[in-house]
Amino acid sequence: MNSIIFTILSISMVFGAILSIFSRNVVHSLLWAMVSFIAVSGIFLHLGATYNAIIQLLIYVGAIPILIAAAIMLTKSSDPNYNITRKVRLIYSIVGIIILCIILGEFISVNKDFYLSIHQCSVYVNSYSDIISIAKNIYENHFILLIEFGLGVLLTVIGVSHYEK
Amino acid sequence: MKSNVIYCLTTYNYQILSLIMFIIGLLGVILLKNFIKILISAEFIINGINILFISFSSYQPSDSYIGFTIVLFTTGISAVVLAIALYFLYILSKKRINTDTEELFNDNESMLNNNEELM
Repeated sequence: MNSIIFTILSISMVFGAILSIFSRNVVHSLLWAMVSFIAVSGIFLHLGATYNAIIQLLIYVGAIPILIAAAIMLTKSSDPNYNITRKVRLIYSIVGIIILCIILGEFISVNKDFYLSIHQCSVYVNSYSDIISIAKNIYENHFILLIEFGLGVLLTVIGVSHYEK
Repeated sequence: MKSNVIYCLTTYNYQILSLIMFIIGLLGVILLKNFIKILISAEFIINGINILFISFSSYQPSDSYIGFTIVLFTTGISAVVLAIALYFLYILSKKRINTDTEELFNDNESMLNNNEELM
């Protein structure tokens, strides 16, 4: 069973990456890359790295595609021959609303059935997650790396703002 | 949670997967011309490396989470690098509409040649 899950995840990851490279439109490429990143997150979850899987979903599926989509819209680098008619756009929006309703329904049903109090949540996090171990590892053993990372981000932001002037 | 690591799969499987992902990203960086696609391919390379880190850290018998920690930092750094690259792309696109890297370098060469002729 585990090897089946691994096979499905790895095939979807490689398939998404290859299609992302070979698709002609940049937006399609971005969407296939998102498929690949979701599969990578599943592999992290499969390996027991729950916190890294959540971070992967938040950053690689949530933040970076929006950033790239904004860049595509600003630079107008998409194919000028790619025109979506109003009818197709309506169909896409209806499909999107249906998917949104399904996700909201899942959230509501999960909160209704598996409600956890704050105390239960903290016990759950303490016993079943790697978040605390990673936090201890960062703040006790590798805090210099954290400071260097923060300084690096600060320097890049300062450099970019200086370049703008 | 290292107690749930699946031991029927070895690190060899994850190494092969990481290598495939790395090669796909490398091919994308070398072969593609669109700047945004090159950045996406670079993200594939980083994801391949992350899989390697996580797999080695998961299969390590001791309670060290160094691989998980490094993956957190690489994720943050890759996001920062991508944001900066897209910002420079935006600055470039103010002058040139197309983001084709070959045309970008050709334009630079033609500009340099023009400057030399002027000098």
